Amino acid sequence: MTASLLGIHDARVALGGRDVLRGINLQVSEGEVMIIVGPSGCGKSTLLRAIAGLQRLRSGHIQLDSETLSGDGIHLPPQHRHTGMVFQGLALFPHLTVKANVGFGLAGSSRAERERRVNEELVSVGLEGLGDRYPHQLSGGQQQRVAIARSLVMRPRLLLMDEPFSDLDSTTRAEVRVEVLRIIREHGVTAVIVSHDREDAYHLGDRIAVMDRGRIARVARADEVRMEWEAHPFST
Amino acid sequence: MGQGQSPARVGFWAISLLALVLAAPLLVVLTAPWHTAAPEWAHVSVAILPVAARETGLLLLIALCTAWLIALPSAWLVATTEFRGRRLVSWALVLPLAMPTYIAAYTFAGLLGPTGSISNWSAAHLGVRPDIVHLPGLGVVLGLVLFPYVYLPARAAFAHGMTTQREAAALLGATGLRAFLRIGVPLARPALAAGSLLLAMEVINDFGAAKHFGVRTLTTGLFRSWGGLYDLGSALRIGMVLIGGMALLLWIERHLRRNRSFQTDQVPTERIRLRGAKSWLATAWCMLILFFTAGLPLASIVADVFQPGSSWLDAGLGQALTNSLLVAAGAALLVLSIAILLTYRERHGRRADLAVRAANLGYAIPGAVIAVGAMAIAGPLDRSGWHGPVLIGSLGLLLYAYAARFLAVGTQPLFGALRSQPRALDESALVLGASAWRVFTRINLPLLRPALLAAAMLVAIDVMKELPLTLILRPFNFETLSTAAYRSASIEQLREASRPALLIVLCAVPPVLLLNRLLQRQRP
Repeated sequence: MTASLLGIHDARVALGGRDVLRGINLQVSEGEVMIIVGPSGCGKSTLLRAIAGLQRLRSGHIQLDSETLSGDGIHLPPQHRHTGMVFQGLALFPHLTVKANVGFGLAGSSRAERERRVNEELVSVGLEGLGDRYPHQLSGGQQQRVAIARSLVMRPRLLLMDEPFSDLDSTTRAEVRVEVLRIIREHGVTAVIVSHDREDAYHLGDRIAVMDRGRIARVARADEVRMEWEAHPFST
Repeated sequence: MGQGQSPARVGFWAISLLALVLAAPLLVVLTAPWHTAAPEWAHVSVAILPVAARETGLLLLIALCTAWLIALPSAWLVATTEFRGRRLVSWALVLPLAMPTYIAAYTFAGLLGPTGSISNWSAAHLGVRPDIVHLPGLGVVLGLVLFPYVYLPARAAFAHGMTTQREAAALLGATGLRAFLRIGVPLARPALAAGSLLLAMEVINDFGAAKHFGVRTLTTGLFRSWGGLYDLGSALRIGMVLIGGMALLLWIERHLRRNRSFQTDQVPTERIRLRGAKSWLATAWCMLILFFTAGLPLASIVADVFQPGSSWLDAGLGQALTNSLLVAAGAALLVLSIAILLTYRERHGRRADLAVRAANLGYAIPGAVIAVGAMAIAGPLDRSGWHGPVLIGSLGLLLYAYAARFLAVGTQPLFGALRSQPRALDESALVLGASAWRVFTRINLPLLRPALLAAAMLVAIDVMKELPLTLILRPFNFETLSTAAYRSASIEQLREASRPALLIVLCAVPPVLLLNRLLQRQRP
């Protein structure tokens, strides 16, 4: 771990008049994988959306690499934040091929450059030869890798993943989890992953932030949290 | 998009302005007393308006009762029972929608009018000469051809969520007719209200049928004020009354639906297999309805068209067909282009825009009202002298009025399809650096392709069938299939009218079947 890349300070979000995030403070270091866990409705996904710029803050700050993304009257739109996001359900574009999905964000690059980067990314996630297929022609695990490749090809400063394995069965889930961790490590990207699954948290995270009712209840190293959970399996 | 985007506000304002332009005829009619004098209003308000209002109300009542009597039992049988021929009648009962009301009226008058073929036969063999050319007769004819507006939502409501309730009712001793009256109809009331409203809109919009049957409705009164008394101001005021009437009907429909959104189990209703005489009776009922509402009028039209010695497609009819296809395609293109922009605004801009809502109201306003509204806009512009008299009697004004009238037909399928696209698709594209416009054109729009096709077909066929608006605004000497049918029928040349009528019906059948398919895929 090195210096803090992502800094969230006293972030508050209200939705429909109800406080969903109530003063979130969180630091994520360069190259770290931070897992956010917590019960349904505790605000995990809202926090991720606020980092991505899909949700405005009511107050507080979000900074990435010392640049203010949200706060102090600033709200940088999602397309200018240089963050990648893998959505729950993946949100692959069903009418575009794998190549077109992965290259979607490279609209500003030349055709040759786009082709090169897409092919490189497909190789890095183990999808070479599948570029001309459509999402529905892939397995769940392969779709997962397309979604990650689509984000990583943009060289994001931060990768956000919202319940990335929720649509997979338990066997595939374990395999894909290993694969995803390998890809993240190889790319050296900093990641914030939301999950409700403790197994995901153990295996993927360097640290785990536990959320409860719109607040971060605690942040600790993954192995510490794991030992605690194994000792008290019904605690949160 | 959460609240995080900074949309291209100028573009969104421009789209709102465009919607406002389309809502202009409606606004012009509603403000008529403040800008257009009505020299004949004293006469019109005493001699035309009260009779027209009474006859329109009566016509509406008879048409609704006829439609309910036909639609409800048919929809119940098709949705909740299994009988011989059920699959066929399930979709075939939608076919009457392909027949414009004025064509149905000409056909039924040709069969059962004072000199109709069936009337003549009956007079010769039975000594009785039936005559349906009067207000109640027209009410029944309109009910016969417009009943699918009630049948379709009723069938959808009966087809889902009735199983548990019916089983509970059966255990309590209510089966058959009692279950239909005590369970089916009350649970389907919201759907019936919506369908009845659409039917009422069609009845009020009708001009050709009422004119042919000599019934003095508000729409024929509007025509009389404009075309007979040459008083646009009075026509606009009758338009105001019509809009008031539509607003009242909308209010009644909302009132009937309020607190009536019953929670049902939403699983497909399990159909009960009818056996023996019951099965035959069900088949006979549906076939009888099909015969009177589609078979008989269609057979009569076909028989007239293929009479020995009659030429099928002469130069005049060919030109009318070309003109119809031209305006249908032009209007579909225009409506779709505007609908796409409104869809973009709906998805990526601030929603609940008043101008967009007002523009979408056109479908609830009779074509004749839109037409006089468009005339009231074009007249002063033409007279102002800055461009010369180019608007009134132009194809451009006709297409504009079609767009104002049928915009909702284009936007509703798109809005509906757009709502089924997950927001995550847009958000994921935004995070990948796309602008709102790029998200719309690369993601939303390609996924809307089937809805675009459906919307284009529905708009095109509505334009081909539209009569009153076309009659008022068409360019000089510009004949379409609908005006050709009207012109022949108005001088009692019903056989001549049958050729354009058949062409309209043939063009309308595929979109009607498409609509049926779309509705069958949807749950209520």
